[in-house]
Amino acid sequence: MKNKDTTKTEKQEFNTLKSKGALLLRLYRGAKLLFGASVILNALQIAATFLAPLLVGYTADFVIGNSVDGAPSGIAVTVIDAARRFISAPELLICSIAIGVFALLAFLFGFAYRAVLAVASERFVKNLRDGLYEHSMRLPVSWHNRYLTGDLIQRCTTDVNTMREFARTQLIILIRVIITIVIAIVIVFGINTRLALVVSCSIPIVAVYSYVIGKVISKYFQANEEVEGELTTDIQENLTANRVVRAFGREEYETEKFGKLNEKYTQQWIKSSYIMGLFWSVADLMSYVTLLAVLSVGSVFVARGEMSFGELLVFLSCTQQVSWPVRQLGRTLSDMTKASVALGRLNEIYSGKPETTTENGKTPDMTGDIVFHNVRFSYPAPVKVTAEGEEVTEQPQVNTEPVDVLCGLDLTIAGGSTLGVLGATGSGKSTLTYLLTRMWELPEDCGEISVSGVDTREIPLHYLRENIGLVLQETFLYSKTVAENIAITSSCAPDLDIVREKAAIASVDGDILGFEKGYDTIIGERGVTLSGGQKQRVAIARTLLKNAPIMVFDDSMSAVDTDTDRNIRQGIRAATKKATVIIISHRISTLMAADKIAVMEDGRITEFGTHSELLALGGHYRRVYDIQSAYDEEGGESAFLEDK
Amino acid sequence: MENENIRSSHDRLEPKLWKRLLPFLAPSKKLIIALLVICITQAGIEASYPLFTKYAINNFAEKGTSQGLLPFVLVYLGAIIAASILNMCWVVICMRIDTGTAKRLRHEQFLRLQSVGVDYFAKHSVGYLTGRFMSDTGRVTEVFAWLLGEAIYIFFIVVVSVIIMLTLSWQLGLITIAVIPVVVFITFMIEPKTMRANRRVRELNSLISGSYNEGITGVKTAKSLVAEEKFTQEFRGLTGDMYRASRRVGLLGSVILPAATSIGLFAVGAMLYRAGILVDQRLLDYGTLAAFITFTMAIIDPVAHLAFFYTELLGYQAALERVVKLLDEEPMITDTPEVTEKYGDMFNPKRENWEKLHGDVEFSHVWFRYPESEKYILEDFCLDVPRGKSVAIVGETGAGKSTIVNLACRFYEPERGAVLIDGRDSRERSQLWLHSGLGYVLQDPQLFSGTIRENIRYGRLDATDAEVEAAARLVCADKVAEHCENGYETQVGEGGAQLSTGQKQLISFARAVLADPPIFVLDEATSSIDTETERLIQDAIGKALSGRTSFIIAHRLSTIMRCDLILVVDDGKVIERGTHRELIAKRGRYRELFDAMRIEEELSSKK
Repeated sequence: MKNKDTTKTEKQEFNTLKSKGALLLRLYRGAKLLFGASVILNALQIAATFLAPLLVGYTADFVIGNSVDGAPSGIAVTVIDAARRFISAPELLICSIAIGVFALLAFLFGFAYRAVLAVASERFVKNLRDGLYEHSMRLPVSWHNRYLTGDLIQRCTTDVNTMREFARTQLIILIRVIITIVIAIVIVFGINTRLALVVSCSIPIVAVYSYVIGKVISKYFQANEEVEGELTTDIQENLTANRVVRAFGREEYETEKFGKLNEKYTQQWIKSSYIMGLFWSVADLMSYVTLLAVLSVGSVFVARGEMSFGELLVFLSCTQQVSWPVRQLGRTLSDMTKASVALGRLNEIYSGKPETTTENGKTPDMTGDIVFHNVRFSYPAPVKVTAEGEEVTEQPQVNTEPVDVLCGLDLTIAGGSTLGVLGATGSGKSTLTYLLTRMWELPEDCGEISVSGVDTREIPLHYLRENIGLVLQETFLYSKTVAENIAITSSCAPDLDIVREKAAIASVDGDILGFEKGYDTIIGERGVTLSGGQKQRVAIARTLLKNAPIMVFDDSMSAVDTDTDRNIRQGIRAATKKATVIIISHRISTLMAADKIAVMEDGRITEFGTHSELLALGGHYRRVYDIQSAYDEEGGESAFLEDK
Repeated sequence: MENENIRSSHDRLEPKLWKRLLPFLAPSKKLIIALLVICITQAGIEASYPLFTKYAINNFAEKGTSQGLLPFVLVYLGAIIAASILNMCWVVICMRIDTGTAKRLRHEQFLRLQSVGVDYFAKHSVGYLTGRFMSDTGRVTEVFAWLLGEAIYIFFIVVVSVIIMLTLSWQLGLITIAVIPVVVFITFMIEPKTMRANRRVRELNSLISGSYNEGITGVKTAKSLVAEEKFTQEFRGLTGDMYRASRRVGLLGSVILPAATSIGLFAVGAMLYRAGILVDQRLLDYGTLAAFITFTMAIIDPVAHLAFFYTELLGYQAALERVVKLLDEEPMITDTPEVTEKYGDMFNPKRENWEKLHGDVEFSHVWFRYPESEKYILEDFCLDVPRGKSVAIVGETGAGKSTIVNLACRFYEPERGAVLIDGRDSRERSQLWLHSGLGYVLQDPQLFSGTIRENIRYGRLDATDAEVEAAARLVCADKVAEHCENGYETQVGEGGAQLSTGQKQLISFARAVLADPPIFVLDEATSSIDTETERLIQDAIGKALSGRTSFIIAHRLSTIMRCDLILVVDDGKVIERGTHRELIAKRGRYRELFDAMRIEEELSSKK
């Protein structure tokens, strides 16, 4: 049993790894060649920096020193011979010029690999950002509901930055370190095998050491992060509850509590500074000891004539060049685990299943007939995904069983007619609109919703939504100009005449002209705040511009006064003669002119009919009507006064 | 205007700004001196390494003997070990300076935030402020400790190296030194360009974050408008700009380090040429030549880095600016010296001088407007609430219902007129005196990490367990504890996240009741909670309020109707006042609100 579990998790881990790898490859789309080029340029640059010491060694030995022992480095001889063919000058000058040329090459390759890498990694980041945005737009509302908005945004910003660091520095450091070590080893083994063994012995030792210590340090860092978390939580709670703190006069208590955590955090870092200091200084010590070993052993070899002076110089500079990247290796590897975590969190967004678009579905003529047949629906249990990607039920100590929001709802709306809907908060009114527009998908066996005679699940998603103008209960406007907001559904630049026409129908034209910048007012910018009613009316104008044959207003005139409400409704009716209109409202005056009115209660329609039919029925509708019309009747109020 | 100044300041180093850190660095004075000593010694030792190379080559390699090798190795090893120990000390000291300064800065920031106006939190999100506390403060002190520590070390190593080189051979030394200004020049040529390009990247970065925010928050709207495609296209345009801007930064940033390395190589080439001649003339030995090559290659990178530090420092200046801005935040409400003299301050209250608080609250000809606003919200406003009476404040969401509560609690002070507590201007006594007599229950109840018991005890820190439980029983919060596995010792999680809103509310009632305050402020919840909890909360309100002066931002009919006075607020102003009966008869705004509430109750009532 236990064994089975481990295989399962192993397999899962492998799958995540595979999908993470696939994601990485996908993100390098259009940048793979560039990335490859930068690896090659990188190798060339490293080679050039290594060749220079070879030339220096050669110059010292055979040009300045006139040495006769030992064989000159083959590469150096080739280079100098080649140079000699072009310039006739004293050998010393030729050598200096050759070194200069190599310096130039080292610069060119060095610049080129960095530049190409920068371009490649910025392309990578662009792919990542675009993909995240596009995909999050395609993910269904049900997916978005499982995540906290702040968490998602943080993934799209912080985690993207972590990945950017990965692409820009970590990956290339890894590649660079490997190339450097390979080249250095090839060179030193070409000169003197025994001394080369000294150098290459130190490489695995330092690398393993930095990896192991890197792990230890990251444990310390984890502990630091935990304390940082405590401190952050304390600050956040204090600031969020600032009124509570003040109202109870707990400033002193809070400051003391904060002070303790602040001290703990500080001590935690100081504690980890010992291990960090030890790590760095021992790593330094190791590389210097290697250098010392090369210097002493090398000097003895030179003294015995087993090696030339120039070769010793080459050895010294190779040892120096290798020591830094090797130390870097351990640190980069532990940094890369961070990138791996970030990639995992981003992959979670990427692997979310997008909405079913029903691309090749039926596109019926939109007559606007709508039928709900035996519709049952419940939202899934409120599962939230934490920042770490774990799923938790939001309120573990509260009953989380899903409650049916709609229980066998039947409703027929004739094309071109108006339906009014009245119901308490939570009676399922908004769910009706979400299901109609497939914001939430109605499961197969939970009844049927059809538009113009076709099951909505068989209509292409974009076709369905383009034909339904839905004004949501919570108004959301974009930080663009008012005109752009109203014309947000049109693909070309907003035509001000049409925008104003729609704004006029929504009774907001006058308000907008009253703003200092009129239709060019940018919403949400400093100092400009639209009132709730203005926002609702802009949202209505925006939806009107869609010219959809079905219009749904989900309590979207609640902040508008009764007279304006009436003007808007009349305007809409006049402008969209053939449209089917669904109006959800608490106002009888808004509902009473509708062809049919439905009263919803606990996911069912309990009263249905025309205004006068429902009045005669004497149910909820009648009583709500009585409450609202009591304004105009004398003596009505005394009833409420004795009510409680 | 102010924004403009802030922006331009990122181009130059502002010593004035950095000076602000001095008081926080001052307690680490000894550590800083130690750091300097360590840097100098370390630079001395490390700069001498090439001399060891020189010695080895001249005495062993050249002379063809290994005599005296052991003492040489031992001395060299000693130097290396000493340098390593110093290195370790350097790390530990830098960390102490870094974290010590950060700790003091955070403490001061925390103190500031305990006394800023409550509207400060409406203007600055908690996330933003936490960012100032943790990341900005960390970045600023990091610069001071590590970056400067490193810069000092590099500076000394360059200076010592240059001196040694000049002593060994001034001709070759000059060649190397001639190269240094070239590296510095290139860095200063390119860095301002990088900085400007970086600014553009930052601007685009915040636009991109904003787009994610809008896209994700408004995903339903985007879907209902079928605008996903359009938004994605717009976003691609933005990331396209970002791609070009950061590509420029990348290209600029690719120049300096390879240029520095190549210039170093050039110097070596030039030096070799000169050295060849010198060696020929027997003016130079092999060892010195080797030492020179090592020196030259070793100091070029540090010089390039020194120039980098300057830009880094500028980069951190923005963070420092935000930190300093927080430190400059003045408390909005302060007690006069005379008041503090008698009643003590927030951290040293003189409770022995405090009068008993009875709870008579009177607004006497109060004129009030929010800071930075021109519109008066209260004009010559009078209101008398004798002890034990209750006031309901009703109005739409966002109508400004909390203004009166804010004034009564002295979270704000009137511009003209006065708020009288027990017949005396509230400014005549300390804030803490008034706040100690307040019970405050918020619509979105704020709890703290810890147990249920600890959260209730927040109301009165010296309450016994029995008193805590009695308070809980009074408002039925004991039901919450019973419901949880560990009873009163249950951890409520961050901000109380482990509990439902209703449960949190009951605990915050118990917390307020335990404080036994003469004045009670209640921001009633609108959120839908289950009927059982709703009934418990209604009972809790009844028990909590009896016999206390209370201000209630009310949403429920039952609460409103039982209050002695009702204020109707619209667009920030009190438009109607009176008892329930009077206001119903008036048929104004109250009547409308009342009807709306009745309708909601009617529709949700079961037949």
